[in-house]
Amino acid sequence: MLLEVENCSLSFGGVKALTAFGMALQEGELLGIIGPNGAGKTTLFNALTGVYQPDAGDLRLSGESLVGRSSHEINELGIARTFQNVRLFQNLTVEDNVLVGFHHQMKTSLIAAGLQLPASAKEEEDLRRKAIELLDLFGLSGRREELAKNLPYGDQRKLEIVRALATGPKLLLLDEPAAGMNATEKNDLVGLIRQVRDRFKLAVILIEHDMSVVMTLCPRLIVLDYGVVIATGTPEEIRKNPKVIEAYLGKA
Amino acid sequence: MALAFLKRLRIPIAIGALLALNFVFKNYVNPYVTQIVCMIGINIIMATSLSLINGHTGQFSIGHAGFMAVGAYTSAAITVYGHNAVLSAFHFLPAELVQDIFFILAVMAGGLAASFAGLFVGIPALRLRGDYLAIATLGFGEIIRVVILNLDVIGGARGFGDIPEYANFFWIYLFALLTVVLISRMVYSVRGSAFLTIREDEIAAESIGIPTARYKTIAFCVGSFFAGIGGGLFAHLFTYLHTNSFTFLRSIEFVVMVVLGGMGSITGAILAAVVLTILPEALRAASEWRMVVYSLLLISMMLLRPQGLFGLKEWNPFNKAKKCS
Repeated sequence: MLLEVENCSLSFGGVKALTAFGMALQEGELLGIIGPNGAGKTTLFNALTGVYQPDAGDLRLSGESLVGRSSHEINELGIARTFQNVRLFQNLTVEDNVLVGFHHQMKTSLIAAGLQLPASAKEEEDLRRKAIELLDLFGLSGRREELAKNLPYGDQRKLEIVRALATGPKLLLLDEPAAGMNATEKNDLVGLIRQVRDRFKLAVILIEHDMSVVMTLCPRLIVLDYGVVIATGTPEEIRKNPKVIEAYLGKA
Repeated sequence: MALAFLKRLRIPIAIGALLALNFVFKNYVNPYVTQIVCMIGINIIMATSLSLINGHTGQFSIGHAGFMAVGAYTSAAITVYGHNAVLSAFHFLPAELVQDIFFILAVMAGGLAASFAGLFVGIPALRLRGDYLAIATLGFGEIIRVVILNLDVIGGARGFGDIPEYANFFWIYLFALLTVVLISRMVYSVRGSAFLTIREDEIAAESIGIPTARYKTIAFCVGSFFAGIGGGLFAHLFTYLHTNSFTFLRSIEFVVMVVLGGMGSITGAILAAVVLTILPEALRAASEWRMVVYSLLLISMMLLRPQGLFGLKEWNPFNKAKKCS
């Protein structure tokens, strides 16, 4: 099992964002999480990446507990993510945005960088090549000199995925990657996510409001509402589940 | 071709040029002008090192003069009390050589002491951000000043005099060059981009594995180290220290340099350090109106160009069209 979440609860004051949440994820699996606004989807991502600590319960990646660890440690263990409202390093170039993702794989020190020692220069050159390769995969290498903030929105979302991939994760968390994209871009994205999963042998958890994207991409879905799992299963099962229909549309 | 050749020999050329200029300033330029030029060099060190903390890492320190004071008093105490002992211990070597090496070591020790102080601020500062951090650093700068004011061994309220006049144009600009080269290489390397990611978005930085707390502390330590070096040079240029030179206003001066130059531009910080050191002197003719004119210039600058002179851009003659982040 790559990821196990057991009995995880998290509340903000009186609001219970997650209640006794549990799930498990195989290596290489593509899992979709859906649910109405405020259902606790992003909270789950924040708990998984150490932004919030759960009040109770345990989260484990390949058997190692994530509770009490900070975000950067969790990233080093192998979880990378993107954000619902794109958080790129706006004033850095596209290429630099990817390069910083290699941070914990670097071997040369800051002092070596300050003195521009040959080892440090060589490592930077290798990383630059790797960054361009990754950018190529997403069709962004032509814009690598541009500042991230000058990219169109769809490309910013893609760049965020590239940056997450640069950290070499085992598990990739995508928070609404298709938001703000048009139909063609969405189609491309579905292909890209599959390609990335196969190439880097990743597991992916996807939060997505766009049902066409999530239903084509994920063989298994979890539906959250008010911090509780109300349904799990294949897209077919979810579509017919009366509880899900009620959560989204209300009772007749 | 020619440029590549120049690039390979840039260290000896730079040192040669500094020595030649040092000779010119010592023998042909009046001491008042020389002193201003030296002060520009010290301010370049101060502005560049503060730019690492405030501009590149996006923290807000207004206690830089405090670290400068730590460096100044530490190195001065070493040279004042160690001067005779060291000279007699190494009497078999030429006195000038001993003096220069002793001076460099003292200045470095000042830098280390300051960076140690920086560590002390850096760690509690990890819990604070924005205005709160600014107030904490302000408080720390004042604490340092008051502690020094009450230490009798280093002059206390009388001031600390009889510091040997070791610093000159050559040393000041050599250290300024080192500061600028080291800091700019650091922040514009791949590893050093970690500093910039903290300024840009701390949560995103953490999410890609950057230990932001560690890099903030490093920024404070390295920034304070060079501030301490600046202080050491200052002490050995003026040969007299008083805590009045390291008040809150002095810190603000450095902040103004960084803001005016453009938060996150070393080129801008250098230019602002030059302009803001010369300006008050150039305005001396306006006598009592000079500070008014100075303030008006600053205000209009901020109205006309709020991003500072350079914004986030850098200008590097050796490395064309690179790095503008």
